[in-house]
Amino acid sequence: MKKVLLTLISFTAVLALVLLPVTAIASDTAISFSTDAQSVAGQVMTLTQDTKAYAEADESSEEKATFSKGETVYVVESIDGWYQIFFKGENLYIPAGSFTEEGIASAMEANEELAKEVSKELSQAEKDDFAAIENYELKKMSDRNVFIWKIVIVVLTIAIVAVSIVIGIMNAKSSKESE
Amino acid sequence: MSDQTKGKCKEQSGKDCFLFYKNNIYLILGMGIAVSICMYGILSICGFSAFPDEFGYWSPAAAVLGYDWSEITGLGSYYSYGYSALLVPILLFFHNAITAYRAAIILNLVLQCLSMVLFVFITKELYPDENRNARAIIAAIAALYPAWMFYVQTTMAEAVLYFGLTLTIYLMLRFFKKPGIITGLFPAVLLVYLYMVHMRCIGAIGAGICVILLWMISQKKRKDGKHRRIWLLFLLLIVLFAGTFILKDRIIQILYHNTSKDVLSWNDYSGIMFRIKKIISLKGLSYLLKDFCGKALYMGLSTFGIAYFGIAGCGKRAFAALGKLRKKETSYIDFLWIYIFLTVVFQFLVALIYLNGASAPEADRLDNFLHGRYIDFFLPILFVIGLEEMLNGQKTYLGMIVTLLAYMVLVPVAYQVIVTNNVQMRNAHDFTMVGMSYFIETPLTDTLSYFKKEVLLSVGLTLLVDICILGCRKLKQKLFVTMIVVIQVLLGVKACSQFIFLNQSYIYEDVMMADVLQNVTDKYPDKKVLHIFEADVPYIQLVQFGCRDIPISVVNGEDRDIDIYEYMDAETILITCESQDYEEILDDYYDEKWQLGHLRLYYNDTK
Repeated sequence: MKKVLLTLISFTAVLALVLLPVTAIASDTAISFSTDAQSVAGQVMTLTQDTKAYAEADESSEEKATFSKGETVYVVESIDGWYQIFFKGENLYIPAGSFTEEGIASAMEANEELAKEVSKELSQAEKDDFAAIENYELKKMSDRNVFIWKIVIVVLTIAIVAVSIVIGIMNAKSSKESE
Repeated sequence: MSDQTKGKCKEQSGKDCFLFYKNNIYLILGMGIAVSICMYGILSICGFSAFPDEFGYWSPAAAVLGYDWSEITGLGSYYSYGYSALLVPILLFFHNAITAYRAAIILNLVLQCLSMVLFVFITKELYPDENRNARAIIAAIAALYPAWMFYVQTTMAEAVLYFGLTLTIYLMLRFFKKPGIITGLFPAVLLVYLYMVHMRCIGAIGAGICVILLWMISQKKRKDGKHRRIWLLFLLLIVLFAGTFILKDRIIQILYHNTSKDVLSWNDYSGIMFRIKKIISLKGLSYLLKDFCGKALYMGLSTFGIAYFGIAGCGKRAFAALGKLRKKETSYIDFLWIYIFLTVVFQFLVALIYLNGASAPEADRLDNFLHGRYIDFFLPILFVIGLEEMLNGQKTYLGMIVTLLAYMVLVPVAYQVIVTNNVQMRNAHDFTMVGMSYFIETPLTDTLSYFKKEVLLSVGLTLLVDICILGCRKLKQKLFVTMIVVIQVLLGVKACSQFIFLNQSYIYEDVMMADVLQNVTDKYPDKKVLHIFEADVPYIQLVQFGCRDIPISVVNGEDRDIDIYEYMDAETILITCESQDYEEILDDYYDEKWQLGHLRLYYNDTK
């Protein structure tokens, strides 16, 4: 009995020793996988096999929906070998194997393209904003200038008319006095 | 010097200063108004308002300084080089495009203010009995003519022409008062220079030649032989005039080698014979008569009828002077009257001859019919003479009635010309008829409605001015004529706001494109800059003006069909107009795009 137990424990220990690195590798792979999968976040992707969607990232949780191969789903993010999708107002989870490498690659490419386009749009918007800001600054400065000089024009015009009236009245008085 | 003496001197100079301002208060206030109106708009102004005219004047100035703007210059017609001589130092000292443009505006303003002073001197001679203050007010009113205020705020040649013509009158006055080689040289050179500024000044040269000939005939019996030396001056005038043609050909060779003959001929006013031949036919004469009505109407409405008094005044005195010439009783002032009258008449004829056919049914340009640009520059001197006639003349009431009767004849003729036109003259370049453009809309969809409003406004203002003058005469207070300044200021500000300031935000973005191009070419000095032009307004001129040392090549779509793929190149910085349809293709090919104002700039960012 003891021998059997010892054998079992040794076997388990050896198995654990062997499996740990594998798990580590798997973790690494999982990490790299999850890194790859991160870049498909926000993408609409096509399922490469029939799959089920769960309420949690656990196959024992409630099954919420079933999808067939070829249907598309919106991937929110990847969590530990699962993909979180957004479906009918809910966040559901499908297993990682629901997409092939090619599907992931094409989704990544699409993401990169989108990122480039967004970057271009943002750069263009920045340029348009630059022009609009410069124009606004010029307008602000010129409006201030216009206001000041409008007052000066009015003052000078009134002054020239007023001076004429005053001199006219003075001349009229002096000519009356001389008469 | 003792403290007491120093104090007395200071007090004296203070009194002198006070006296100076008191004696010249109207001139100072008039100049102040001119400066204020210019400053009011200057910070809103960033570049050209008129295309391709203004660039055409800057281009020879750039060529003198060694910049090659020939490809861009070739997009427009030929523009005279006289004004360019004044722009050379501005381009030399100011490197920023906006600053250089505003500096040119300040130069125009200085010339306008100097003209006020010249009007005072001229009025002093023409009307020696006139009160000093009245002379100053009249000079201010003349120089504050709304179209003049408008042109001051652009780099069109007009601002120089207004000043130039006023200066020729003053210099002619100096010559006739004290004849000599030196006093004669100045007006002769100036007249030729004005011709170099714009070829339409051929009228002023003709008037100058005629009056100098008349003067020389009147001086035949002089024993001092001075009049014989003046013949040399006469010859010099002719030689200088001939020299302008050689200069013109040289400029065309350097700057306009890419321009088609058709485009080049738009502004070529030297071919006078074929224009005169056009007039000598029944159709030509009928158009001449209608064109006369249009321009005479413009002259009256834009000056509130004052120009009619001016023509009557100087005509009356010029004919009296000719009568005195026969009796050998002429004085120097009589020749000046003859010169002013002949200048007005000849310049009016130039406008009629060069714009003959403007009233034809197929002619669509309203501004060629009611043309102001060729006439405006002698209206200020008519303002001076006209106001003096209205204030001091014997027949002012009769003159006012005749003015209104003239309107009653000319307005229906002009109306009829517009109604019978194929398109009711819906093509109106407002800045060439500033004095009658206060109600103009762009695009002009209802010419008749615009014309009615404009006539009503101008007739209303004429009546207002008449009431003001009658009030001055009744109260014996000439100074009350200052009320006209209020009208001038309101109209001047309206004209500038409507035609210049409105478009400047877009113009500013086009100027910003020049800064962008400068940055891109600094980063990629080996890339060439190419503009695709397809019969649009050449806004690229603003970019060239901003990047004066960057040669911009042009592909002109007016000469050939454009295949955009031919010009798409990674080593090219491509500039297109916003109205062109290449956006999708160019967006796919190029990495970087700037869209500013009327232009788009594309290039690949390879660094």
